[in-house]
Amino acid sequence: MPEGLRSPTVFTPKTISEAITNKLKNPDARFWAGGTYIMSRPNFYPNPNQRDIIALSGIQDLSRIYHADRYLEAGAMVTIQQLITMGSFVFSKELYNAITSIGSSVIRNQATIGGSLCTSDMRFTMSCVLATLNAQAEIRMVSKSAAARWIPVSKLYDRKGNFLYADNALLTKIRIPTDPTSQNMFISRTLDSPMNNPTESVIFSLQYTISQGNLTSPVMCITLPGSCFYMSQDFDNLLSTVNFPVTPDKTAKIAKRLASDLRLSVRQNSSMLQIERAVRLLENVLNEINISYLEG
Amino acid sequence: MRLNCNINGSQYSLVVNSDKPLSHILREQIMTFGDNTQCQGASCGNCIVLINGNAALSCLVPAFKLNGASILTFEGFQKTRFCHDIERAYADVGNQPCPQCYPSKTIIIESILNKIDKENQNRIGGFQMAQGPHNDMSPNSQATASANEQAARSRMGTSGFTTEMIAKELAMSSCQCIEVSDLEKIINLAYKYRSRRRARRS
Repeated sequence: MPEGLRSPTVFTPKTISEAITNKLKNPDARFWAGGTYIMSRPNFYPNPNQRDIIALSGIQDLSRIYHADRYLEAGAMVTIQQLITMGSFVFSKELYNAITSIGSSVIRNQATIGGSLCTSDMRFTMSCVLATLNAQAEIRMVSKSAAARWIPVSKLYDRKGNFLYADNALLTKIRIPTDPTSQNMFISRTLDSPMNNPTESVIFSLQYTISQGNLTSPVMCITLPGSCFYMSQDFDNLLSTVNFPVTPDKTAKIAKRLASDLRLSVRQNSSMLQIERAVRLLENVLNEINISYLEG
Repeated sequence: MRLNCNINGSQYSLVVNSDKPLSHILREQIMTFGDNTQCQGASCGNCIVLINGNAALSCLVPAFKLNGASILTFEGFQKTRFCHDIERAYADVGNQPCPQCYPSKTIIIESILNKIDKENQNRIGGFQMAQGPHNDMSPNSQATASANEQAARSRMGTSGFTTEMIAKELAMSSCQCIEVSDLEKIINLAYKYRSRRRARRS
């Protein structure tokens, strides 16, 4: 053990309320789900200022998966690989492909849903995809009452992609809509690896329906992993004015608006390449929808 | 903290920092040098080990998660018959990974072969086993499931892994020293050798 390096205390609660009590007694301790993101940060070890750890892996309630008719409910400690195994039976092909695109199975075996949603300053594919699908997250506030609240995943972050409940709540469950009767279409694209190349990677997802040639009820989310989490009602309204077949002028107009919105939203450390890529992804997706519409 | 675990078949009781990554423990306290890791936790993929039979990046596993675990590094894996299957496949295809990523790619191939075995067992046991106790499948979701399954099967080779899937698994290792098509051949051959040996035994 290197001299002067403190070994962090590891708490291993068995219930959610025990975990919250641990956090109340040790406000500096951090919740530990899979640990893939925390451990991949530079200078994680050795670090003299290491915080104590509340390991969530012993809490059975957080590792359960429940499938009802219209949704799939997964505990925060369910690994992405487990979600994929379960999801192959209930998710649409596009959603299934979006989730399987998250790293290799080596990472997916370890990374958890809760962990990937709760990283403090980096947004990955799960956040983008679940926000678009209007998934809900149950969070327990770190207080004596440990009150539980269901909130949409899209409301967990600010525009810069910071997690709003970083130190005052515990995310316990995710509810993903899987209504088989729904007519919603879903598209998701990821450029580059968000984990290895956060300054160049872009994650895009869009849920929509086409009704009588109109793009109806579109919900779009664009994530630039280290700098922006972009979801805008105004922009979704603009997308809903698209009629198919869409003209190149209309596509260019929408792309221009997205570029200016993103420039206002991003943190200073984002690159112009990411914004350009996000805009091209949107154009590309609109073209794809256009082609599939024309092909009937 | 005191860490009790099994590394390459030997039982160890070590005093380590609770947050110390397994890669550091292996290098500093067990003196294994097969992992070639240089990335300091940036997921270069060169420090893969098998923990309880599953491949994991040792730089992303802290000591407090390892109590009672069985860890197999490349040094330990090299002494097993399973490694000989993969080495024989390398020789037959006439291509092998570079010395830098040889250990990690070999371990990834082993984990892929384990995964194929598991999938085959699940198929034999039926899909109901994989669904879990609470699943209540509607006819539509069953249709989606069977469509996904059929699409996957239609793309499968002899071992059940597509080129696309292999490329995704190997994306963990950043070294591009070997073609994915060659790796697919290697996996298919290694799987064939392993199946043959099992058949002989049974």
